[in-house]
This record gives sequence, C-alpha cells and structure tokens, in this order.
Amino acid sequence: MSLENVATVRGPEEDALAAQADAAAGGVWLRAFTRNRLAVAGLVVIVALLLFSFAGPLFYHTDQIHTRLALETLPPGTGRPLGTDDVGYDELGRLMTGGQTTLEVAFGAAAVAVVLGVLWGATAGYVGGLLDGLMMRVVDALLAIPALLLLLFLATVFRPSVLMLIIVVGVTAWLVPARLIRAEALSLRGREYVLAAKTMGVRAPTIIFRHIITNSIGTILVNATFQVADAILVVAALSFLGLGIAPPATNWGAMLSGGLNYTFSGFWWLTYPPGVAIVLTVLAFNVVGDGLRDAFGLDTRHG
Amino acid sequence: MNAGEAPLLELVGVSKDYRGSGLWSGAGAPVRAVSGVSLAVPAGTSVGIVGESGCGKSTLGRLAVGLEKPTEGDVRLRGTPVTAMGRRERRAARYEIQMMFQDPYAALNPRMTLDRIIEEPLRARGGISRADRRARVRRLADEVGIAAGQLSRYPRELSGGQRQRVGLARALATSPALIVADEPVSALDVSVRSQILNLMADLQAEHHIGYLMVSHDLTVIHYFTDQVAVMYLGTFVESGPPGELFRAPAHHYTRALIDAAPDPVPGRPAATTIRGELPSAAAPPSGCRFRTRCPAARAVCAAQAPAPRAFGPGHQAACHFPLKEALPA
Amino acid sequence: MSAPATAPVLRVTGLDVDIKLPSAVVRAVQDVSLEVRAGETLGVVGESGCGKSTLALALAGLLPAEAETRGSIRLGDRELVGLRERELRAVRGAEVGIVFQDPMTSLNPTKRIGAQVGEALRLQRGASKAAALRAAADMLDRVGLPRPREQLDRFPHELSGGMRQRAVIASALICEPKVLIADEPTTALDVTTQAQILELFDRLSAELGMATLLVSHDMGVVAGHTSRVFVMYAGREAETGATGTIFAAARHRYTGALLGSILRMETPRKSRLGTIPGRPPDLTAPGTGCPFAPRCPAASAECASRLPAASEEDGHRWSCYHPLAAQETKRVPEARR
Repeated sequence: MSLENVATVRGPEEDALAAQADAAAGGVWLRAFTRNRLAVAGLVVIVALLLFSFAGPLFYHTDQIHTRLALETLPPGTGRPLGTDDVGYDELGRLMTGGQTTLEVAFGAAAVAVVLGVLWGATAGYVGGLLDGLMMRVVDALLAIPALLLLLFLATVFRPSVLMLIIVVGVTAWLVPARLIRAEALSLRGREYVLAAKTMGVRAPTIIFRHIITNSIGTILVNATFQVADAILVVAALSFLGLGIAPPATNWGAMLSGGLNYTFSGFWWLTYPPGVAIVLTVLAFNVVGDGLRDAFGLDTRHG
Repeated sequence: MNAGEAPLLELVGVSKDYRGSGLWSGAGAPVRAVSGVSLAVPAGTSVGIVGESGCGKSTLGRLAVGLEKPTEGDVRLRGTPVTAMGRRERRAARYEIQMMFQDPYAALNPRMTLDRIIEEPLRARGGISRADRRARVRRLADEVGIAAGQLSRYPRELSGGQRQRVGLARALATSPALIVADEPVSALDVSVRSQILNLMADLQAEHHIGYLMVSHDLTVIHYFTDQVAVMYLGTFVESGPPGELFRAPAHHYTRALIDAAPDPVPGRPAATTIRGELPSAAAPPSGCRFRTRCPAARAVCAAQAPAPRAFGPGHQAACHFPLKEALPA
Repeated sequence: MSAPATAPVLRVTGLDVDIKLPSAVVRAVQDVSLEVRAGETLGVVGESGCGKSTLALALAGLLPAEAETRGSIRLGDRELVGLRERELRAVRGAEVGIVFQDPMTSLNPTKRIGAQVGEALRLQRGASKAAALRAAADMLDRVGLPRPREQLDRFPHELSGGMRQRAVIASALICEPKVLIADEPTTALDVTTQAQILELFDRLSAELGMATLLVSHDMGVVAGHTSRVFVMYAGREAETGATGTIFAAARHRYTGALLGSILRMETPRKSRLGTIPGRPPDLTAPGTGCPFAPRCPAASAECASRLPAASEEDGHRWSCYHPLAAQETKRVPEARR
C-alpha cells in the first residue's frame, strides 16, 4: 500500500494526442469496433443466427412435435432442404428449434454468470480485507472442482429444462468474471473519484455500482461475449453426454450427438448442419469479444 | 476567532500507522506515516502543509477529512473528537469537511456527467428534493465558472482546469466549513493555476470556508495560506506564518526547500544545500529525523529529538541548532 | 550573450509534425526552426498541448507511426527526417541521448541497472558485456550515484526516484552523445532531488560539451539552467532568445502573459493573480492568423487573419504584431553557460 501520492508523476504536460483522444472517447470504442471488419462480420453472423432460429419458423413451417418414422433419414430434396432426421423431423426445422434452445440457454447462462460474478467480484475487491479473503477462497475452492463433473452431477440431480440448464451452466461459469472484476475493483478503489465518493458519505453498495462496476464495463462486456461462446460449448457437451433436455425439445449439441451415430451411414445432413452452426456461433462470439477488447483498449490502457 | 472558541478542525497528537507490505495477512512491522502531529485550523482561515513525497502530508489530509482513522490521537471538529460523536453526528460532521483532489483526470468518474458528479454529495446526504438538487448544482456550477450548458457533458471533454473547477463545485455542494485541498493546482498549467487559486480565494471570501492545503509547492503555500507547517518524515519540523517562515526560516529543511525551489530568475539555478536521500519511513533516524541530511547535524541530534521552540508569534521549529535565535522560553 | 561562432550541432528547419488520428489530423508542430550548439542548453517551454513533447519525440526519432514529419532536422551534417527506423536506431543512443519524465517507466523493471545502462554501448559500439559494465559503473559514478559498483546488480525498484533518474541519465549518456534531449526530466521528482538532478545536467553538459534540449513547463527550471529559450504556443514558435533577454524583456504577448502568471515567492500574498483567459486552440483546425489572437488583449483584426512574420534583433526573435514595448534590459546575472 503506498503511503504517499508521488507529487505530480504526470506533469501538467498533457499530450495533444491524449486530449483529442479523450474528447472523443465516448464514441471511440464503438467506432473502433465498427472499423474491425472481422468483429462486425461476427456480429452480423450472430444476428443472422438469432433471426434464423427465432424468426425462421415463422416462414418455414414444419412439425417439430410429431415424429414420422416413415420419413426417417431422408436425404435433402424438394421440400426438405436439409432432409429429415432419424425420427422423421425436418432437419432444417430442427436446426431452428435447436437454435432457439441453444441460444436461449447460452445467453441466459452468460447473464447469470456475469451478474453473479460481477457482484461477487466487485464486492470482494472493493471491501477488501477479511471479506475479500473469504469470498475469493470460495471462488478458489469452486474453481478446483472440475466444471464438467459438477455439471454432470447437477444435471443428473435436477430435471433438465431450459431454466435448469441456464442456472446449472451459469452457476459453474461465474467464477472467472468474479476474479476479473475483483482485479478491476482492486485497482479502481484507490482512484480519486472513489475516495471522493467516500468523503461524501456515499454508501458502499452505491459506490460499487456507480463507480466500480460502471468503470469496469469494458471488461464485463468482453467477458460476457466469451461466456456466451463457452455456454454453447458446455450445453453441447452436456447434450452430447445425453444430459440435455428431453425430446421433442432439442439443441444443436443433442443434434450433433444424435447424428454422430450415423456417421458411417453417410447421412451427412445429420451432423454437419448442427456442427457448423455451433462452430459458427462460437467463432462469431469470440471475434466479437476480441473486437470489443481491442476497441476498449483493454490490453494496454484502462478506461 | 475568539479566544477560547475551539478551532474548526484540530488534530491532536495524531499518528497513523500502516502495515508494512506483506502477504495477504499484511505481516510486517507497521510503518508510521504520521507521528504525533498536532494542528489547528481556525474557521475561515487557510492552513498549509508543505513537504516532499513520503513526508506524510497526503496521509494527514486524508486523516483530516475522515478517509483514514488515526492510530493514535484524535481529530476534533469544533472541539469534539470525532470518535466521541454518535453515528448521526459523525455523518453530519463529514459534510462539514470536504476534499479537493490533486489529479483532475482521476478525481471525476469518467462515466458520469458533470451534473451527476456535482450532485452526488447531495444525493448521499439526502433530504433534498430532486428539483432542489438540480437548482443547487446549477448555482454551484455558475459559481465556479462552468456554464450551465456544459453540465450534461462528460469529464473527458473538459480541460484540466475545468475539471478542477468541477471538483471544487462538488466539494462545495454540502456547504462545508473546511475544504482539504490536496495539491489542488500541481497538475495544472501555470496560467491555469492562477485561475483556480483566484477562484478558491473568491469562494473563501464568499462562503467563509477554510482550507487545509497540502502541497509540495512552496510558492503556492506561501501565497495562499495564513499558517504553514513544514513536514518531514511524518512530523512537523517548523510551523508559522508563511511570510516570516519563508523569509527567515529557523529549520534547515525549510531553508533547503526554499533554496531548491526553482525561481524564474535567469542565472539563479536551484541550489542543493542538502544531500542524500530520504530515509525509509519504516526506519526513521533516531533523534532528529532530518539529521542524516542536515548540514548542521552534530552528535546531540542523533541522541535526542529536538523539542519545538518559539521563534516569533505563532512561529515554532524543532531544531538543536536552528538558523536563528529562539525566543526565550 | 556572445554566440560561439561554431556551427550548430542540431539544426531544425521548418519542422512540421502531423499526427493522424482516426477522426482528425492534429497539427502538433508547425514550422519550427531552432538551433542548438555544443555546450549550450536550449530550454523549450510552453503549456499543455503546445507541442513541445512532440517536438522532443521528433528530434529523438521516436514519433509513433501515425505521425508524419516534414522539414529538416540536421544532426551535424546528417539529415534525420526521412530516415528509416534502422538508420535512426544507429543515431539514437550513439549521437542522441534521451531522458524522459518518469524514471519508473524509462527503466525496464526486470533488468538490472548495470545491464540497462551499458546497453547502448553494447548495441552501438559492440562493446563486450564486461566492458559495458565497467563503463556503466564509471558513468553511474559520474552521475553521482553512491557506490556505483553495487548498484550495477540492482533492479530499478530498489532505487529511489532520484537515483533512478540518475541511472536513466547515465544510460542516455554512456555513448557520450552530441545531443541530449530531456523531456521534463525532473517533473516527477521532489524539489530537493530536482535541484540535484539539474545541477547534474549543468555539470555533465559542460564536461561532455553536449548540446542539450531541455523541455519543461517550469519557468523556474528553464531560467536557472538554460542559456537560450524557445517558447512554444499551439505548435508554433512564439518567441526565442537568450534566457536573460526572454525573462527580462519578452516581446511576444504570450510570453509576457505566461511570465506574468507565474507564482513566485515575491508574488504578494493573497493578491489577485494574473491569468490568461480562454483555452489553447484546437490543433486539429489551426486558423490562419496568430494562434494566440483569441486570448490576447492586444489582438487586432490583422492578428486574427494573418500569421505575423518573425522580427529579429540580436538573436532574439518573436512573431507578434503588437509586441510588448522594449523595456530596459535589467542587469540580470547571466546564466552560467
């Protein structure tokens, strides 16, 4: 802990560059982001997939409830752009329904993870001392448990539903944002505007929200996008291991796992579409996350 | 100030220890950043604390405003120690002393608009309607020279001087009786410094507020304050009226600071009358703390810490071999 | 002041530096011309955003990629503008030494002092590790670091701010460069340490016969440790001349206003301080007239429309249509060099 402020480490000299950059900082990250073509492409892909999954069924009607075994595993043809799966569902329609579940769980789990992690980490980092120690030991302990085992355990105990999956995945994913935001809180709590708030008698929870969390928004956003990508993979893994949601609901991971039974039968339309969908989504979120990180300049400067 | 009336702010025998840097448990000998300091700030006056980095002046400022609690001694507001106050009284006391920070680029939350920033202390105190708060913010902004139209902007759109004005407006929001100003103009351009100092003087005249100004810059302290204390390694080595103190100091450290300060007169280079480095606060020299760098140090300086002696009205210094004659005890 | 008749070591002519930002182009330095001779210290002063740091970076060849430089910087008989990075590297360190403001960030925290101080010698002169360390110890001694041989093995964080800055100066001077560029070298230091470092600069400058460019916002530093001063405003030269002349008889209105607003011990306590109203201009859109016109009490229509040409008198140059009246030059003691 430093005992003294060093008298003017930064002299009054303020580079014209910094002054000009500061003046535009509000919109700078957005402009920097939009200039990153890969990141924008990722954003477009995400929007496209969202539209595909949620708006698609409005235009492309298929029966996703009743199985029709007579129509099982038909290759793509007229009226069936992606063929049918092993119980007769239209594959393209399946992809849309599966997409809805996948994306719902992914966004939901990311939201849970980020909210829980941010609150936990910001409080621990700001308050410091014994509370910080306790809170972070909890995080350390949970991090020591392999996430997949924990997930498997939780998934077998609780009846899988979309809400359950969201909670289960979120509850294992909040540890990383907690650590990240705690680090931010540690560095922000010594800032003069935080000290100013303390002298004004602003209470701790208000300081945490108004000063700590709002000034970590860059880190939070970046981490949130990576959380979505991770959640998709986790759900896919769970479904792959047979612990997903009961039919007729489905998700891309379940479709992929189901389709893999038929790899050697040559029914490519059962594996490639969901596989490609997963890869595309995860990549898209990753490049968006990278783009945000670059736009906020998080590797070098702190906002 | 009437004789017998308690000063607005008083620090009595205040010491502050910090844990030496260790691991999570903070193991290590405590470092005494401030050691047995007593200071009185009468209402409506300006008191300055001058010293270099590591002397403890910023810590002293934080103790005064309540950001830190003293390890020993007490902080008294109008005679009553803060620790003796009930919770409600203490909260009210907090609003009497506010702070103005050094770095205009770090003193304002970059994600808040100016009106929100100035409003924050009012919201924290409570008891004022939103409309009244807005009106007060506009009045404060006007007083410090920030146009009403600027209030919806963000700090990054302002210059250093303007940000410092916002910092002042925020400090004034709760009508404090004292503002602790920690290096208020050090980070500003020379011509902007004058603007802010003029403003601070105007506000003092208008609202009868006192200032506790902490700075390393002697010229600012000399110009602005009524009483100054020179700090070295956690203690006051000399204190008194700035005019006399800087013209004819008694302590060698004060002399060294004056000599070292660059003067904008050509051909007069800054003089180095003291050598050496600042000793570590964790292991201060025995006896007089300044003896390791003092040109006049002798054996007795290591053996015994000098007691403060009077050199004039309100002028005190602690030195075995001062630069001038002490007044008879 | 009698100017030595030798050719200048560093000669800058018509230097322009533009910084390309995503949204605009910042004209950070405009048409700057100056000279520094061996053994001379030129102080470059100005307030935030005046371009003095950009100028220092340009002379050191350390501008970022977004910067575009036009004009001429001659070091001896070699032109530096337009050189490629590889060629600049040969110049930097060997012929141009650079000292920046913050000693903490100027030194690599993971390398020992000895290695860092000797680095330039190894890179530029191909010295062996042992030879470089010996030279580093010598240099550390010269810059006044106590027990230099012991310091060689230390890391930067083990040294105090003043000692670190001395180490930085040692590393800048190890190849005995012809030119030293110091950008706010003492701003981050305590006033007593600052005095020591400035004294060091004076001594070394004389010993090594270097041409020194000292960039500072602190007029006190400039007054006591330079022989000539270059005042910058909004990227341009406002006034330049011998230090004594500038402080005693400034002609440009900005210089006068700046000197008038400095707080000194002599400033009457509690008096009203002189200020300069307004703000420096936006360097992304410099106008056609004198950049100081909007803030100048003596500005006329001509000032706002046309850039004033420079007037010169005995090595004292200023660009102002309504310069301050030529005062009687007080008998001020000359600077030591």
